[in-house]
Amino acid sequence: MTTKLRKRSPGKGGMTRRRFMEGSAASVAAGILASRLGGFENLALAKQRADEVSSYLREIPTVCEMCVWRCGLRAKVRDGVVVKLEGNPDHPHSRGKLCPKGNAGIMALYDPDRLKTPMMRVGERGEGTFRKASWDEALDYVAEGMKKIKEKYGPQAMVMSSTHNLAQLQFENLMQAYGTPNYGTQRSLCFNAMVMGFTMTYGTSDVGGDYANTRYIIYNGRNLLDGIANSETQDLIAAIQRGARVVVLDPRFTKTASKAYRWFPVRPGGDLAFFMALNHVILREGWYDVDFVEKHTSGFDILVEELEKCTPRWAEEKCDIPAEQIFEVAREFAEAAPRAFAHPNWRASNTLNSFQTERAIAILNALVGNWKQPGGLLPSGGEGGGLQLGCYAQPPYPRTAAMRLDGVPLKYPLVPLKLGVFQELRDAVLRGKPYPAKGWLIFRQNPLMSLSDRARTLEAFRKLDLIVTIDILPNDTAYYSDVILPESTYLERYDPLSVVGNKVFLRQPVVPPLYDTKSALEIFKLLGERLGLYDFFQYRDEEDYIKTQLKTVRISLDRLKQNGYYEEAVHEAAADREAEMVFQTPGGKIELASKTLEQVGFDAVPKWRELPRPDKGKFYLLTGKVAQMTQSSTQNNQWLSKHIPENTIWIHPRAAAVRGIKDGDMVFVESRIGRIQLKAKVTEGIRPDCVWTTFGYGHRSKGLRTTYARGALSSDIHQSLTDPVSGSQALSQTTVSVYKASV
Amino acid sequence: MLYLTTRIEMLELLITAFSRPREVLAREIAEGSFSTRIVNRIASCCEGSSRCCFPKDLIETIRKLPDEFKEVQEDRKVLTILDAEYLRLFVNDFPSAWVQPYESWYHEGRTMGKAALECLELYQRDGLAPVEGGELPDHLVTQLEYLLFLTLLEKKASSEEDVALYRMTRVKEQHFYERHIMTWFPTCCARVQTYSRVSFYRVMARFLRNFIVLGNRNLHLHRSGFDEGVAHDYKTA
Repeated sequence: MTTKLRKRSPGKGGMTRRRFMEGSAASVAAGILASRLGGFENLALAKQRADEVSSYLREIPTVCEMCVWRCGLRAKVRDGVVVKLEGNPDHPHSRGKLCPKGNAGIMALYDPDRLKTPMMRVGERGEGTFRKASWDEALDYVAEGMKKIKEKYGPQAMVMSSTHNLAQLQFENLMQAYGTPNYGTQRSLCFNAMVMGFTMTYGTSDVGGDYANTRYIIYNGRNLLDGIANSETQDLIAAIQRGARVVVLDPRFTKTASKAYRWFPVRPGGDLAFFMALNHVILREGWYDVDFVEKHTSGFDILVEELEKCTPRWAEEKCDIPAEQIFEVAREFAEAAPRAFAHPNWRASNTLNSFQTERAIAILNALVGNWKQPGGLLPSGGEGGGLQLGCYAQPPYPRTAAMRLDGVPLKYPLVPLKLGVFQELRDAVLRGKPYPAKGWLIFRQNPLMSLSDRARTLEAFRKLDLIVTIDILPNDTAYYSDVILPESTYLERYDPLSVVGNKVFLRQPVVPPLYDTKSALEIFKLLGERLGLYDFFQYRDEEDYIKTQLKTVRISLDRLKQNGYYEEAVHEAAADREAEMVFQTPGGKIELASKTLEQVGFDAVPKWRELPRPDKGKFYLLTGKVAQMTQSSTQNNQWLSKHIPENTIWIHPRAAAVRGIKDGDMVFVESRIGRIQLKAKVTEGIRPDCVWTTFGYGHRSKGLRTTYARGALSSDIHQSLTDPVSGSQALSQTTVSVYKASV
Repeated sequence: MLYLTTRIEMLELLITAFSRPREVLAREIAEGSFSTRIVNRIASCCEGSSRCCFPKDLIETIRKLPDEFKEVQEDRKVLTILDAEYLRLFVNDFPSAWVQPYESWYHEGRTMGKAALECLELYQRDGLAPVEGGELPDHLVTQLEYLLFLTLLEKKASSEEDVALYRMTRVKEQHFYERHIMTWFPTCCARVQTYSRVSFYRVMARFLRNFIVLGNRNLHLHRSGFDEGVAHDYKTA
């Protein structure tokens, strides 16, 4: 911990008695410090005299990491302490504003529960007894363990998992250089259905809406006012203020629903029928864009045939939305088109038919020809697109002969390797088939909470010889690990550069690390070298890595540190390409009927499949986000926790009355695999056949003092059910009973 | 009455006790020399007095410190025990409550709060700065080090008969005790006494608690009218 000292402007004040006295003390300080045998370990002679020091507020640009949106921010630092975080007005993701989580980033840095040193387990796994280790000792141990696993069982016996972050590419570099194909990410737990639904239709999932010009938006399960995507949330509010009509499908009356022109408390899974009916009406009434469909789509006739029977009346009982209103939405959407779009969302209603629902949404947009039109769907050119960064010349990765444990591509032939099916990977570790896994390296991820059916994940952990966690907090997964490697927070470290379109942004330390922690880039390098993978980790340090990235961009690192970002001029040719109608599908057109899906035995066009409803007296268990929290990673943040210290379970007054449940009562929520206890929130803002809670509470790690034992974790009762096409977990398929915890 | 030399020596011992344990400390605890040094210091401060500054049972407990490690043959094992306990108590732990060694936590529930900033300012006034990679400015050991610094300064002023420096240093000590040490050390020590599984830390926490109470009393007993003027000057600057 050091403090940035700056000279006070000269000429102010004379030599006061106090300053004279302090000057005297300072002059003898050196002698005092030297007089102690062994010196002082935590205090040293300052480089400047006290009367030369002044509090000086510095603003340092960097990139937020309180969620995955990566807003640009400016950290205000005084005396080496971060006193305020503000949105960077030049960053397209924040535009000068930060969400509640972004503002509370200070408390991620100054959370007293942070991991402060490498630790190695000394008791039984899960007992929570660790000892301090040096970085060398901990890394040697991990590397030795990984080498042993590789030699005895092959590299595939090592599982690696990570969530979405800037250093993820280097983590993947480590994984591929080591040679394991077994990679677990958050993707199948979140957006596989959307990514694949749009990719199978448009050839890309990198799709956004033109909020500035739109007149009509349909959201399905997307709650942008709680699941904040800063700039997009700002866009939505601006669009509403401008008069755009917003339709929200959600079994719950969300904050976004409260701003909507129409809110439909749709039956979970019935959303597919709703969108099929919208498509039916648009086709039947001839409201589609004939020119666009003819020129840029394929499979029209197959679609028409399949949708023939899908009238609003047909859909009504499936989605619980009146036929007349479905017709009205179709009419309004078509009238507003092409200045209208149905949002891709993240995972629709999160059921077994979510993939086909996403397909139906993609098709709805295609029928009205809103692609690249003002107010319609746009390729977002989001992160990773645009500027190409420099990289090191590396040898090819070793060939991986082993099949993946998550069933990709044998069981899930269309799921991209990059996405994977994380829950299947966990299940394969548990079964020990087709081959046993022996180690798991976890980078900034918390599978013990994020994967459904926590008991099963714990069981899988017991099969392993080595579990290593890299994180900033002592979360549940760290608690069950053998080695914990503490990472510096995003305000203390560099990360690989962030590219947004034609801009490149720098995450840089705004204060030095408070504890004995390291950046992910350094941890991967040190581990990679111990594994003998020198050619894959050629950078000397983080700055050297970033300088190599900047070789293709005309800005120096020093300049980038000051500005926080660099913007490259967009060439006209590139702008022209933007306007082209090119689709990376097998036929080069938008696929209303997908040949690829047909070839592997799936439905080429969306087809309705009735999903089981809850038995009498039971509920769909729904989960979603709140604005103050990011998954399971922010509950220990004291500023955020003050607002939502625990999660509750939403239940409709009718359902509550039958069970004698009053607002604030403790209730049991029980599924086939477990039971949790939560406080009831009795509200009309939810369908009577659904209950809802937010995810991320119910931490078992007592190292998280703020959030330990607060609320309960939905993963304890969520069954692991998987959409067969996209590999997405189908959380809303779990049904539960609810009853009072005490009479 | 705690003499200057005794205070300095006791502070040195306390800094060693509450810093991350090293092999030397483990050896000294096991062979008994660490507790002997403390007991001797206590004895020297109360020499010629009918009443000892420290409770008798505390002195007895300090004397018995090596007993805890009687069964442990190797110094390295003693170090492992100390190290694990230090980690559990002061750094990171999972299954049980532990102790936060940062003053800011006791006032604001966080690290690097107002207390840390105030400490930084005090250190800066004395030409000091936290060491990079060392503990935070309001960490228990950093504050003990600053207290040691002030006590050494007091000794220097005293031996050189520099009255102005002596009085100013006493004011600084009083200020540091009032604004910082006394606001959280007692609670922190109580928590260590409650939660430590290793008697070494429990005993050292009790020793520290007694030490600061005595130190604080000592400063107030010897406060003169002139000191008040200097104090006012110092605090309002």
